[in-house]
Amino acid sequence: MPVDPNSHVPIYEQIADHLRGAVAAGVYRPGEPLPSIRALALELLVNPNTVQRAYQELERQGLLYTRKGLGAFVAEGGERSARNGAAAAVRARFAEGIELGRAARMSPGSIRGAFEEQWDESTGTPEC
Amino acid sequence: MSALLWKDLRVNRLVLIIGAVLLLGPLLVGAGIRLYCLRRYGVLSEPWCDFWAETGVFSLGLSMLSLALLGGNAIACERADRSAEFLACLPPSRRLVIASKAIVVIGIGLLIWGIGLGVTYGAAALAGDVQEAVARIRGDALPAIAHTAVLLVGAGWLVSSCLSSPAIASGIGIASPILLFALLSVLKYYYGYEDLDMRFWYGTLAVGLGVTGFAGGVVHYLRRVEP
Amino acid sequence: MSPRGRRSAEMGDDTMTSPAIEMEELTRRFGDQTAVKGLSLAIPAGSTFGFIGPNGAGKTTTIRMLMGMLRPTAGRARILGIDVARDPAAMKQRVGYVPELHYIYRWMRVGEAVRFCRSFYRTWNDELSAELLELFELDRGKRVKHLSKGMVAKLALLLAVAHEPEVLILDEPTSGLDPIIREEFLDGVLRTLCARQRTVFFSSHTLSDVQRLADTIGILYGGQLLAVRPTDELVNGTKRIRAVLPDGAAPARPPAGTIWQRVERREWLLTVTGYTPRTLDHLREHNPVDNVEIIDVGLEEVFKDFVRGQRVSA
Repeated sequence: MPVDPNSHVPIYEQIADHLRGAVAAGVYRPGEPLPSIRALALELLVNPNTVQRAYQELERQGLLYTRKGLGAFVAEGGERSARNGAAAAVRARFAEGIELGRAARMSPGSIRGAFEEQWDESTGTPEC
Repeated sequence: MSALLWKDLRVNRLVLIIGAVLLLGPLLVGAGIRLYCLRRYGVLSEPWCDFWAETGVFSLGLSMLSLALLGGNAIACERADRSAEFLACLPPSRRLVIASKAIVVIGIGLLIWGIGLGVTYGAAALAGDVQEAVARIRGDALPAIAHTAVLLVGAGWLVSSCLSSPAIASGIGIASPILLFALLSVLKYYYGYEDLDMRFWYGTLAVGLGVTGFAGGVVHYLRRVEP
Repeated sequence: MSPRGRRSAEMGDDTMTSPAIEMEELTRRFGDQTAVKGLSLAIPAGSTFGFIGPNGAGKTTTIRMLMGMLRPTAGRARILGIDVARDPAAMKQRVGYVPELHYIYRWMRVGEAVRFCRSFYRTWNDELSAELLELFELDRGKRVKHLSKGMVAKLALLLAVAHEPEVLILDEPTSGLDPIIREEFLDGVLRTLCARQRTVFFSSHTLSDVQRLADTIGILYGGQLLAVRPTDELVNGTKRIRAVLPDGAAPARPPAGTIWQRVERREWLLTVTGYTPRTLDHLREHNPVDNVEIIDVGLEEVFKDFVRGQRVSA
């Protein structure tokens, strides 16, 4: 999973998002260990403090717990928490889109219309 | 420290090879020619004793060139390719660095002279009467050569410490005895100091300036901060 | 906030440990040009500091003064409590340095260079050295003059980190390196970083590298520090604001933290650091703005706007 330092999403958030996605998708099951901070830092080529911050954030959200000397493990309610986290991330993206519309002085109706158009396109059956 | 010595010897490898050639070349070539003549003609123009003494002095005279190169190359060579900057990143203090260089220069100088004198007096002694042989071939040139060598090395070393061009440093090293001699000659003949003892003054000043130059080069290097 | 004020904030509750790197009014003049003007900075142990600035800002000059290779015109620098001008040899035992341009003896073979450097350090780790030689794919028998630029850079890094220095200083470490070698280089630096209480100080133009590695970023311009902030705060706390002004109106009072602004037609663009919702309130309160949009910016834009702001006010 490459991290994009130039993205406007902070690196620790990118890492947290990715881990959340992995847990939600079942890549890591409750009770299983997550990569150590050092290993993940070396893999992603980021400062270990950034990885630690991501882990702290996820621990706060109840996705994982840490055992001194052993590392981080997926929490029992991890999957659920991951999905909640995903929901929060989705809402944040929607909020960005709404802001964009407002700045362009679109009416609430047209912003909503744009959303629904995109929704149909993304989730509907592809046209031949 | 041994790593520094190894490095300094390795950096001066070309100069050391030139030094060996200039020192041993005449001896080996001369001896080879004599042996050939001996086989061919059965007789030699001069005794071995004379030959060793003469060639020994000649080699030492020739080696002045390699000593000038050695002195001039010592410090400036690392500035020329900027490897001095790499060395500056490493722990050895400037004191250690300059000590290593000084040991190499003085050590090699002593080695050359040791071999040269060893041949001149040693081989000559084995072959016959040394004192006579040395006197015959005007071995009284030896002290002058020795004094010149000290001046060459000292001057070259001082300039090497100040500049970053080994060529200029060696060049100034070579020029210094000529300049000293010219200066003394001018004093004696132009300004009329008729009773100026050239031999004494040249010798004293050459050694004095050489040693001062060497010490000056060391002090300058230690006070400088840039590699 | 001044760099000193920031220092207290950064050091947090660990005020018992003295800073790993300390610069006090460091100044360097070349003739009538001042390359570094009274630089004061304290970097706590265990942190990673990224030093960014345009070419000619004085980054290399500062680093050379830190390493005792250039005598400051004024001021002092201390690494691990050691005055670098007074005792450079002791300092260099505990510091690894990777310069921008490499001048390792070209006639040496890789193995010889390693043995050469090894002889000077008390803390040389043979295992780590062998590990890095393999990781960087360096051939022990090859002479330095036959190595490519990237290989020389990796060798230089190896020689700097194999003695497990407490402080690692790098000057533009990845400039001119291809993306693959850059990654290997970052990997090598991270391995040092990951060890406890290691401090890294590096200058770089590759801003993505700075964002990856640095906890704190310092922006240098014209020999002076424009800002010293934690990376997150600098990048995520700096926003660009696009405001629309009514016809004929002009901005009255830009909010605190504005580093650059420009008015073109009815558009007022400004970049503000330390952005909070209060900034927006302040903007609306004191200026006749119609429409306001907040835009996220990356480190590159933040950096450019700092520099642009300086150039405008100069």
